[in-house]
Amino acid sequence: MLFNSLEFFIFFPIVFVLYWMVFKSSRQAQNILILLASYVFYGWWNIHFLWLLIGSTVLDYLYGFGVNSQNRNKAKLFLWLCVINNLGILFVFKYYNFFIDQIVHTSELMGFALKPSYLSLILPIGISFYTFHGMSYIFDVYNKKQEPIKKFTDYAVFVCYFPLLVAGPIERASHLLPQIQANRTFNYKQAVDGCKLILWGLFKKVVIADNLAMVADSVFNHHQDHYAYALILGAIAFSFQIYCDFSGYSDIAIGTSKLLGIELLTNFRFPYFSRDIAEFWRRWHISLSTWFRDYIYIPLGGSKRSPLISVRNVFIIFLISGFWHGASWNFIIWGFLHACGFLPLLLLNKNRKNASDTVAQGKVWPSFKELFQMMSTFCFVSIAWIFFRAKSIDVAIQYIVNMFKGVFKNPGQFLTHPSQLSIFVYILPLLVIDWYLRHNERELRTPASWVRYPVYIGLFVVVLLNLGKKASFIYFQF
Amino acid sequence: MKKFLKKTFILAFIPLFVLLLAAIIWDPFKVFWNYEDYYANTVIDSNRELVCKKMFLSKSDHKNVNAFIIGSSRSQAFKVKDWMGVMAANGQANLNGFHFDGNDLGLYRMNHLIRYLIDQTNKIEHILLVLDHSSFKEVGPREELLFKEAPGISEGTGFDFYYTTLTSSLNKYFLMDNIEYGLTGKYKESMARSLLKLKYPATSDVQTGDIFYGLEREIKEDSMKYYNTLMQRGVFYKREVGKVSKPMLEKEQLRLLNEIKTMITEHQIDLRIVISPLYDNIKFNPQDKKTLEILFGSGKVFDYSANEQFTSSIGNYYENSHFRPEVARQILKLVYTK
Repeated sequence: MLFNSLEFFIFFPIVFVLYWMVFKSSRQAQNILILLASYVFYGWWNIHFLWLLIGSTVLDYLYGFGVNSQNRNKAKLFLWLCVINNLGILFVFKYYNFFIDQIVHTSELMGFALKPSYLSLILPIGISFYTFHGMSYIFDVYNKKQEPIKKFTDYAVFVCYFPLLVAGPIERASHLLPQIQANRTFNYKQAVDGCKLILWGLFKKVVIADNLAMVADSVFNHHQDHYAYALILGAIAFSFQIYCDFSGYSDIAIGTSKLLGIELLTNFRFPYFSRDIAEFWRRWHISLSTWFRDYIYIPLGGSKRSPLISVRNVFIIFLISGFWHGASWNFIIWGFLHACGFLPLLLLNKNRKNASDTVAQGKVWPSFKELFQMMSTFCFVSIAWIFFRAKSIDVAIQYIVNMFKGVFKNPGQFLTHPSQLSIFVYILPLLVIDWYLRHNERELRTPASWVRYPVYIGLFVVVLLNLGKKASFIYFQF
Repeated sequence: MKKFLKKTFILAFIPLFVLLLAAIIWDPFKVFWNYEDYYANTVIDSNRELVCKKMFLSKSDHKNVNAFIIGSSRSQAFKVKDWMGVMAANGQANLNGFHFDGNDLGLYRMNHLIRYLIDQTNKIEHILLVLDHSSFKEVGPREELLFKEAPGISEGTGFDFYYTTLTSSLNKYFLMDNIEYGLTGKYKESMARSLLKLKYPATSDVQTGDIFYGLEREIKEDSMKYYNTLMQRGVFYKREVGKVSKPMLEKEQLRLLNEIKTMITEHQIDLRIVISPLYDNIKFNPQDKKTLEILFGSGKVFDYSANEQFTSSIGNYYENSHFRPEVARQILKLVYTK
C-alpha cells in the first residue's frame, strides 16, 4: 500500500479510530491492531511475501533469546545464525543474480563459459529495511544493550510497524521498543504535528518529487538526445526528486506514527544545506548511516586506529552502503565516490568540523564561504547521483562527459531554452521553506491561524490536484 | 480527541468535499449527469462507451432495439441509418438499430458489452461487429478513463470508474489547460494532453448513437487544404506493401471469442464481423481469419483489410486511423447483399 494512495486514505483513518477509540484502554490490543494493520499494509502489495516477513520476524525473535545466553560461544553461534539468516534472505532475493552475473563475466574473461541458472524472483519491498531492523535488535541484545523481548507481539510490532516497514526510518530497539511497551495516550499536539508532517511529506512527494521525476526521467532515459544544459538540469532535477521522494516518505512515516503516539527517528536534516560530505552524511538517511556507523564502522575500529585502518573502514562502510541500495556496480561506484569525498576530511581531521551547528547559525543568510561550501557539496552529491540514477556505469560516464564537454563547447545554450528552468518552480519554494525550517525539521512553524489554516488548506488542495497517478517511492525498490 | 477530529474534518474533509462537489457539478467528462447533446460545445473527449450507454438507456424504446453496430471509434464510419437502409432493401424493415461503440473498444469490453445488451433488450436480431487487428490486443480491463468499462457494463461496482473520473477531472494539467482555454479561447499544441483540437464540434444522434465528426464539414469546405495539411505533417505515411498482422488469437482471446459465440448461438443472433480497411494496409492474419470463420461461420467474416478498393485513396480517411462513412456504406452493401 502506498502512502499516496486512496487505499491508505481509507485504511489509516480506520486504524486510527480503532486504535484510539475502540482499543484505547488496552496497550496489548493496540499492539495487536498495529501488527494486523501492518500485515494488511504489507500484504496489500503481495500477500505471498507476507510469509517471508512473518518467518523472518519469528526467527529473529527466537535468535534474541539465543544471543542473550550467558554462554558467549552459544550467544556468538546464534548471532552468526541470525546474520547468515538475514543476509541469506537478502542474498537470495536481492544479490544472487548479481553474483551469478559476476561469475559468468569472470569465467568469460578467463576463457570458459559457465551457464548457471538465474533466479526469477521479485524483490520483496522493504526487505533491506526489515532485515536491518531485525539485525539491529539482535546486535543490541548480543552487546547487552537490550533485553530480549518476551512478548512476541511487541517484537513483531517493532519489526513490522507499518509506517516504517517498507522504507524506514530504520529504527533501533532501544528507541522504539520502550514506546511499544509503554501505555500510550492521545496527545493533541503530537497528533497535530503528525498531520503537518504528513501534509508536508505528501507535498514533497506528489507535488515536487513526482513533477521533477518527469524532467529527470525524460533526460536520463534519452540522455544522448540532450545537450549539456538539459543534462545539468536533469541531474539537478533528480537530486531534488530523490530528496523529496525519500524525505517526503520519511515525513509521512514519522507523521503517521505520531498520530499513533509513537515517535520515530529523524531521517533527514536538510542534507542539501551541508557544507561538506561528512555533514551531508549526518543529514541524509540518518537512520541508515548511523546503523552502519554503530554496527559496522565502530566495531571495525572506526577512525580511532591507524590512518590505514581508518581509510579501509571508510571505504568498507561506503561501499556496503552503496551495495545496500541495490545489486549493481552503479551503486557501488556511488558509494565509492562518497568515500572519496569523505576521506580527505577524515585524514585532515575535519570530518566533524560542521557536526555541532547548522549552516548560518543564528543568521538569516549564509556567508559567501558557506554558500560556496554548500554549492560545491551539492555539485559533488549531484554528480554522484548520476551513477545512482543511470542505467549503467557506461551511461553515467557518458552523461557526465557530455555534460562537461557541452558546457565548454557551447556556453550560449544556457540562454536559449529558458523554459526548461521551470524545474526551479518546484525547487526554489522548497529551498526557501527548508531554509526557514533548517534548525528543526520536525517543527513546521507557521504564523497566526489566519495565515496557517489557508496555508494548510492550500497545500492540501495542491496535493489532491497532484494525486492523480500512483507513483511509487524510489526507496521501495531497496 | 474531539477537538482534533473536528479540526481534521474542517481542514481536510471540507476542502476535499468542495473539490469533489465542484468536479461533479462541472462534470467535464459527462459522467455524472445526463445531457441532451453530449458533444455540444465541448473540446473534452469523454468515455464513449458510457456516453453510448446513457444515450441508449435514454431511448424510451431501448428494450426493443434489436440491431447493434459494435466496435471502436473506427466503427463510427458505419451509420445506423445506412445499415437500416441496406437491411430494409433486403426485406428487413422492422429493425430498430443502435450504434454502441467505445474508445479503442477491444475484445474484452466487446464481450461484456454484448452480454450487457442481451440483458437490456428483449431480443437482438443482428450485430455488426467492426474489428481490426488491434481489437484483439485487449484481454483485460484498462486503467485510463477513456478506455475504462462503463459502470453497469463492467463486472465491478463502478467505484473505480468514478474515482478515476474525479482524479482525472481534478488533474492539475487538465485544470490548467481548461482554465487557459476558457479564458483565452485559444488552443495551444501543449493542450493536446487534455483537449481536442476541433474546428467544428462533432454532433450525435441520440436515437441511433451515431456520431458525426465535424471533420466532414472541414473536408467539404476545402478538401485540398485539409489533406495537404495532414500530408505535410506526415500523417499519411508511406505504407509497406504485403505486410500481414502477426497472429493475435491466443488462449485468452479464444476464450473471449468462444463466450461471444455461446451468447450469439444461445440468443440466435445474426452476427457479422467486418475487418476494417485501415490506412496501415496491413493484411489481417489469415490464420486468425480462419479461426474466426471456424467459430462464427465462413459467411460471417468479411475481411477488407489491405483492400486496395478502400485503402488506396487517402480521401477515404479522416487521418491514418479512421475511415469515412462512404467507405462504410460500400462495405455494408457488400456484407448484406444476398
